[in-house]
Amino acid sequence: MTTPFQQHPGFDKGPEFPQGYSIRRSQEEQQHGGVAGLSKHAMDLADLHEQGSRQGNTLQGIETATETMQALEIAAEIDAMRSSLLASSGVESE
Amino acid sequence: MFRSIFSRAVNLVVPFQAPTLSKLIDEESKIGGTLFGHASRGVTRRFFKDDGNSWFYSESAVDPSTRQELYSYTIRYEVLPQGILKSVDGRGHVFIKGIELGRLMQAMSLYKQRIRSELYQPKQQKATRSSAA
Repeated sequence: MTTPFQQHPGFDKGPEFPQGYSIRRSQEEQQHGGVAGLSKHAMDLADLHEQGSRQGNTLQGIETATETMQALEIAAEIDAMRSSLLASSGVESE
Repeated sequence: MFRSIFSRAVNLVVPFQAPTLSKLIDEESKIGGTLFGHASRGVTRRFFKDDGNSWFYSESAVDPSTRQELYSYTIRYEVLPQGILKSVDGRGHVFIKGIELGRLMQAMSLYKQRIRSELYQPKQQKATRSSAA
């Protein structure tokens, strides 16, 4: 399956978003949320590692170290923006 | 003062309700869905970071005339120490690299910029622009 990240040459070409969409996260959340979900995810990861070892592949740790760090920095900035807004509105946690 | 700021920021209905993390992420996902250019009629996209280190891209399409769903899928990108792990509808886990990784990074960066300017600091940006003019 191709994704926008593989398919489109660029981003930010203008908003065209239909209204009234019910966000579709439940499937992922069910698979990865909660104790059972975490177990499932851990099994998936174990399978992946096993498969990679069998094929003689190495993980992309070194190649993607820069991107991973960058992604973590972006995530931290977003979390800070969220926390700041929630804190200023008196919401400490959900 | 706070009421008007937050009502505008997270598009809440009156009477005022305090924003929640879920509402913020929901609003972010709408902005995130606009990062990928023009969507055909009937196609809905969302892109967002959850409250951890995962990013989600979901896309669905309905037939505009019948409203029947044509397809839908969700891609999860999980930022791990080893790299960024992708799965589609919970399957096919693979670490991404190359062009896909580069474009995902570009999308994450744009997402941060857009939510900052449109959701978290809209008034501040306007004030900055006014004072600079």
